[in-house]
Amino acid sequence: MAQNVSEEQYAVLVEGVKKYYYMGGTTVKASDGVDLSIKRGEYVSIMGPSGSGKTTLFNLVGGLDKPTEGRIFIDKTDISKLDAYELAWLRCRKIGYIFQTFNLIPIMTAVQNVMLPMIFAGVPKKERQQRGEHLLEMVGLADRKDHKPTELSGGQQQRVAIARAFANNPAIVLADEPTGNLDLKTGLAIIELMVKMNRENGITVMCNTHDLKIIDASDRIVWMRDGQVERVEDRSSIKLQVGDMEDGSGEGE
Amino acid sequence: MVEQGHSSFPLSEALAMSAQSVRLRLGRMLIVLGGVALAVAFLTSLYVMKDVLAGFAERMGPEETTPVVAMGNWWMAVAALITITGITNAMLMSVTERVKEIGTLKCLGATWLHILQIFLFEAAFLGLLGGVAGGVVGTLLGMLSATGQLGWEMVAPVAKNPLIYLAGIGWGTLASVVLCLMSSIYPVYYAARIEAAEALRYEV
Repeated sequence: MAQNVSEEQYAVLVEGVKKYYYMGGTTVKASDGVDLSIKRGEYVSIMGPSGSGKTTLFNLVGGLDKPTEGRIFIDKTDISKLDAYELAWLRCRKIGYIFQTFNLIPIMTAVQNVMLPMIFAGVPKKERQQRGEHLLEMVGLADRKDHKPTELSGGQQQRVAIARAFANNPAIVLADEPTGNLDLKTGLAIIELMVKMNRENGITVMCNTHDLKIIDASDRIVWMRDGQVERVEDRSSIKLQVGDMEDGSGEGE
Repeated sequence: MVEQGHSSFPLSEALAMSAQSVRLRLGRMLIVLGGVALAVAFLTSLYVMKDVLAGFAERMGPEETTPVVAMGNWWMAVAALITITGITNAMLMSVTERVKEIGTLKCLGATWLHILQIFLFEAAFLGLLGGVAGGVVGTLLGMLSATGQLGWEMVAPVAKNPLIYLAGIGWGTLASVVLCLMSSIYPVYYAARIEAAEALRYEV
């Protein structure tokens, strides 16, 4: 990995992170020494089979879980040193979350959902409303702003969730299997939207997936296995890989 | 070092969110509300009967009314206990079915205090709505029951004083809010300390 890049340029630094769970005498090594650095503006996909530690990494980088060992920097802040209140602030201002199950607040309309993180960030009401509507416009849901999540399709719900994740201009947007609950075509549209938001806003994205469609969109792909980084590939070698796969894919995806 | 602050969630926002939640979930909450209203109606009717009896004691001497008042107090204590367990159960259910929502709120920047605010306001709303309804019904029931037992001539002097109705409804509402808040101590505590990562893993 290029070491000549200054620390300033990293949105996320993960140093020797381990996360062990102790369950009835056995130790489950969900993360077993992960090193990872994500540059500002980058779109990184985390790939790997189920149980390879993707979601654990998502939780750790997102400040939702504490590592057993190692350090994580978000925007130069060592998150293990933060107390609960500072952590809440970091989640609010520096991190945007996108989940497999969308996780919109069911009682709130689309625009209220998008405005929610801005309430926590202390954005004035007028600005909130404007920015919320603008974000919904960006994800193509301007006409659905007053609809509740139950009145939206899965793909539309995920669009609202994406708008919500970008609401506070975070340092990084984390996505955990964002297309896992969507059909192929909708999933592709969601990936395209995430790439568009990444390119247009210059906001770093780290996306967990085992969806091969995402390969083409990523600047880098991190392959994980058994709680460790197996290999990291950048864009140029990715193209080749996709070619290989398309040749050899008799059974489809 | 990067600038560091605290996330904010003004009381007005918590209030608005709780109000919206109660309004939109009203259909489901009607059962709980009905329970609260009934219990409060029972409590209030006992309270009003006590008021009527107090007016009596002046004319008939305390030895006639004291045992009745004592009995009424016991009934009130029992009713309060049943109300508390009922509301606690309902609030716990409301919390557990919203674990994921709480986890999401924590991801968006909510602290335990913000979660506490939201659920306490909800409990207070529940108490207020159930209390007003129960207070009105209970006051009228108390009057009716006093009339049935003692005869209209005895009750009339008290019943013609509008203050007793106001006192009954006010007392019922207050009792209801206090009971609802007391009942939600444990559920709200439980909600506030749910860990975000755990909450997101949670499947209903």
